[in-house]
Amino acid sequence: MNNNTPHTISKTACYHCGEPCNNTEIQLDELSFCCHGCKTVYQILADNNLTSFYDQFPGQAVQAKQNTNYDFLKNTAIARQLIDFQTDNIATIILELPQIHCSACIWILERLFRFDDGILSSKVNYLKKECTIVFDINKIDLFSLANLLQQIGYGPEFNLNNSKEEKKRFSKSNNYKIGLAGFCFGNIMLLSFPEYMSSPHQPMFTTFGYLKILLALPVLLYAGKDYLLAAKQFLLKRNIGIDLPIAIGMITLFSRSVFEILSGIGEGYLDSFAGFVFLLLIGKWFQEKTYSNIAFDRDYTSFFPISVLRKEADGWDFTAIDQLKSGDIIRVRNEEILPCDSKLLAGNGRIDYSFVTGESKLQSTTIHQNIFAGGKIVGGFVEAEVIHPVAQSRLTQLWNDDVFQKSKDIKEKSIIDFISKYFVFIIIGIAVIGFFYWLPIDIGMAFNVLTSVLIIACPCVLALSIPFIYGNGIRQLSKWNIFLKNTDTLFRLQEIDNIVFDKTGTLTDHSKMQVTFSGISLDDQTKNQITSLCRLSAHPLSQAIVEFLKSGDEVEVNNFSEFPGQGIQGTMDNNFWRLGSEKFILGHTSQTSISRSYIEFNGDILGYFSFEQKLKGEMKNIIENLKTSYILGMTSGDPIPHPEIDQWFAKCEKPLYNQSPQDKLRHIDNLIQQGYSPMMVGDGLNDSGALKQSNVGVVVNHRQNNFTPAADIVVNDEALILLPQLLEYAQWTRRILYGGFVIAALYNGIGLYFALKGLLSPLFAAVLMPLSSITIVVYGFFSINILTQIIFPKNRNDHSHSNR
Amino acid sequence: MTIVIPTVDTGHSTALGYVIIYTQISTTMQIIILLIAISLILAIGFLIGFFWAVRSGQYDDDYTPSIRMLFDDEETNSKINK
Repeated sequence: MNNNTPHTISKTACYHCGEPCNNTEIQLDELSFCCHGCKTVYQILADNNLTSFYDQFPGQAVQAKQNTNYDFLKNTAIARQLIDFQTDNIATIILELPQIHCSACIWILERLFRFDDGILSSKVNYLKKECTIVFDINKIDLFSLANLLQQIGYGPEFNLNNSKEEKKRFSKSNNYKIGLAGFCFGNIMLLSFPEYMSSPHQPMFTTFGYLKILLALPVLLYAGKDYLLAAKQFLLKRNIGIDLPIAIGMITLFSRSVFEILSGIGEGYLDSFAGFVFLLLIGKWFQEKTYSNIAFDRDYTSFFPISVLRKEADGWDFTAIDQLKSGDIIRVRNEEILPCDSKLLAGNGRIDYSFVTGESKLQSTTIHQNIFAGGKIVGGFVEAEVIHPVAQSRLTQLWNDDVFQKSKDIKEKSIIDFISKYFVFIIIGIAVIGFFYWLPIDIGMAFNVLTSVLIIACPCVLALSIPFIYGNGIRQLSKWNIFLKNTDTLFRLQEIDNIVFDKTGTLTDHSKMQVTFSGISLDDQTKNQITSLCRLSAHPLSQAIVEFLKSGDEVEVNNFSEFPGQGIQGTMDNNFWRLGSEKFILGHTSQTSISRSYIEFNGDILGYFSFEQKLKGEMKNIIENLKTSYILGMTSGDPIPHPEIDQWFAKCEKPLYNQSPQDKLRHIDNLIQQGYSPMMVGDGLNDSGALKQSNVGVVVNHRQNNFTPAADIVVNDEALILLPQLLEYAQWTRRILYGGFVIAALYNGIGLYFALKGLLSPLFAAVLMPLSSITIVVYGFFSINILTQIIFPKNRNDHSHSNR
Repeated sequence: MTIVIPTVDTGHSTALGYVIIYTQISTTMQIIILLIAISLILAIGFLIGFFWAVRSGQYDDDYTPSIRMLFDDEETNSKINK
């Protein structure tokens, strides 16, 4: 890309981010930029001699849009809490940067040290959207670091979620186990090899035998720890799972081998034993390698701010929210979220409870009124006295509510548990019958047969079939931007017979509010002023106008006030602006179904914006398609029925309007009571209760790092149309799994035949057991890959890691 | 059933005992046994290497390095353009 000059990029595209510059083109160094944010980043890059960025990634950068206030990072106690590791001068922090989306991001973020002396190094984890930054705390503090990142378009997200450490530790310990088991497996096999080759028992082999026991011990005690724990669980709680027969097999295999070696009877089965544990761990790794960039396990703490202003003896200071006590006085500023239930003392802010209730209607506040955690303060600030600490607030209690606590365990793993329960009894039955058959003939043989049956029938293949068939299935789905929480979701997906859609975000296009302006033509200055006014309001329509006008310059607004559900007003450059509903501006309402927002300048009406929520046209076909085999329903928080949606859902369950989050939850609950297995499709905020309650909750995601606590499946916006294919896919994976069971049964049958005749030799076991496992792995891979190619359209192949 | 322990003439140390047994077995087996001993030591080295790699975080991110290596060398590149 050496000859890349700015002129190769089309004139109207922003040199920085590649978005088309509408009318607000800004020129600098003969280059065009779509907004001031992009221009600023370009300047920063140019100042730091990093313009080669544009040669490598023309027009691919992130637009610098956000405007988060990082003042709380000035508080050293809070900054300390966020830093992962710190010595005297050097600190390491892992920052969540949800904006990371392409290789250009990695390039620029790994050159952070060029921007500031204090930054020593930075390393991006692309899939996790994280950046590990090492910096000198004497030269740059966390506050400046966060602001620097925000300037170049990567404002970090801070939250108090500390579960990531645990996950990391898990994956590490699993890696250790795999390494150890693999090592022991290989070496035990080498040590067994001479014995298989030469028939007379050499005295040296005894030493080898001890060496093998020594090598097998860590496999049993460390690598196979989880299975031993499963056996303990059974002894304590009588829980039968797939891990129990595995544990029985493992323990039998190990103890018989040790007995044989120590008594000098034979060479033992330790190679089979270690290989078997190794394969099981590989299966586990395969299954649990999930999508770290999508956090399924986020809870309310990631939604709350990390700190809040608290009144101290000597003024206001930031305090971590978990430090708040009843009686503390806190101040929450515009656009911030109230972390705990409080009593309002002062302030002019209004509260948006859309996260809690799903209504995007702002609530006005009065002094001494109780306000609740989860509310977003809009258009001002509030000062309030804390009633309950964060952990006891109403919203937190909601998360701790039954629905969220009740795991789906009962329904989970039903097939495999069912099978393993009978499996245990059948195998033990066969082993005991074999034992008593041989007992009168030969006592030694009787014990031989008993242990052989337990060894050979160990459900290794059964245990591997799920990780490899379902795990591979989940992986394949992720290529189509459908992300499943775990393999159990695929099981539950097979049972679905009823699908309920939430309207917002699934049937309507949330991001694409169609805005049109009718009236006088707007010049740049007017646009700037309207945008500045709208920025102060969190109302969706105001946000839509900001998005529509795409104006960069900020104008100072005085005397701003917002009339909830009506409109906003303010003074800019001594001109009085008002913006709001027909009733707010004109004083009367006409009969139009499309919502409009009028703009008034010093008493003159300049025109109006009209808004239309676009329905996703493609969903109509999807619904038609699903109608034939599933019962469909629709819920919406909107009070007024939407005629077109009603038409879509003709001959389905009657669409439900005016539904509160509780209503939606109850609706799902009713369906379950009636014996259905419902699937809920929603956007994950106000319908989270329903999503959690349903057998499978599908969250449609617009932004990768969304808040999806209740989701079993996260699908990208454009992947929602693949819903019918997904359901069909789930049905087919079940059939493939049954195929795997047949293979397992065949191998076990062969093995059992030899075991019952007392012919099981170590060599035979060492060949048969890995062979059966490898068969199932290969089968799982190929059948799922073929299935994926058949069911999903071929032209979407390059989806998972595309740049944009 | 008796537990078999390699025993040689009493009076020798155990280590020497192994050497005596070793000289008594066939050459082919001698080589195999020697190779196994060497390979075991080598493999322990690899195992330690693997543990070190996991510990130092090399397995934490298996995707980003594949992108990183495709970047042009930025210093030379910017000189060409100037």
